[in-house]
Amino acid sequence: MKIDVIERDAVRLVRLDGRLDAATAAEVERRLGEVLESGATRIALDCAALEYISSAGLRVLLSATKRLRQAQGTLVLGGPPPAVLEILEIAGFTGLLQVLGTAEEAVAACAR
Amino acid sequence: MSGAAGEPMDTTLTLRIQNDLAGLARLLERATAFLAGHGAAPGVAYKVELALEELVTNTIKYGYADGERHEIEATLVWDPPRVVLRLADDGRPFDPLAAPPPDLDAPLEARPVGGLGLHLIRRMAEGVAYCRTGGRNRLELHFRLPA
Repeated sequence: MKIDVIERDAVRLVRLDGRLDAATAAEVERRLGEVLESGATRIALDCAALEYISSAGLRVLLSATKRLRQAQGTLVLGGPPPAVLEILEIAGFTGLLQVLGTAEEAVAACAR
Repeated sequence: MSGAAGEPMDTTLTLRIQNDLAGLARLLERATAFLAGHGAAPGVAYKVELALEELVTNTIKYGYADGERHEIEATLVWDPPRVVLRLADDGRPFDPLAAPPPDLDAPLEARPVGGLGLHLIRRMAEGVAYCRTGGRNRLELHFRLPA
């Protein structure tokens, strides 16, 4: 799993490249935690290169969303491939957080 | 067993790992290679890998209270029009089919972080059967291959 954090228009864009599973969830959670602790409240997750997500990864997204909601912030996902989107839908996450077609749309939605 | 060399791959892959998470990554790699070698569509491979990860992780985390080493066995059978996944472990009796479904309509603050894995599997497998025999949990899951 490769994780890149970029600052874009007062939005923190976090790019996830690889598999978000039981083996990588702790690393992603740590990096997202650093972004949250830096005071960022607008976070866009670029999921275009996210090949796979399991419940371990869903837990990381859920806890980050809860923390951000408490800080009046937003987390928006952009560009998940169809297989990842299907998991988000089955898990009921598409009703909990905003999931958009591309990372750019996610950044724009965060910036509003 | 080398699909790359043009020889047919075995239709059955049996893997045994110890009950620790280090073995899980290796298990998933072998399963992924087996499914790719048989030309499984990415969507089906994803479902089988997910089921394998969720169920083996559950067994490693919650199946044993004695702190001892145990063996978990996973078998994949390429049997068009389906792929069969069988799992066997000697952990405490656990029927994943009997676990209550998570409340997916709960608001964010009340959303439980557990129980999602089993929910995903029940939705993605075509059939799931559980039995407890010989002191072992035995689970069989069927996944349909696209025509």
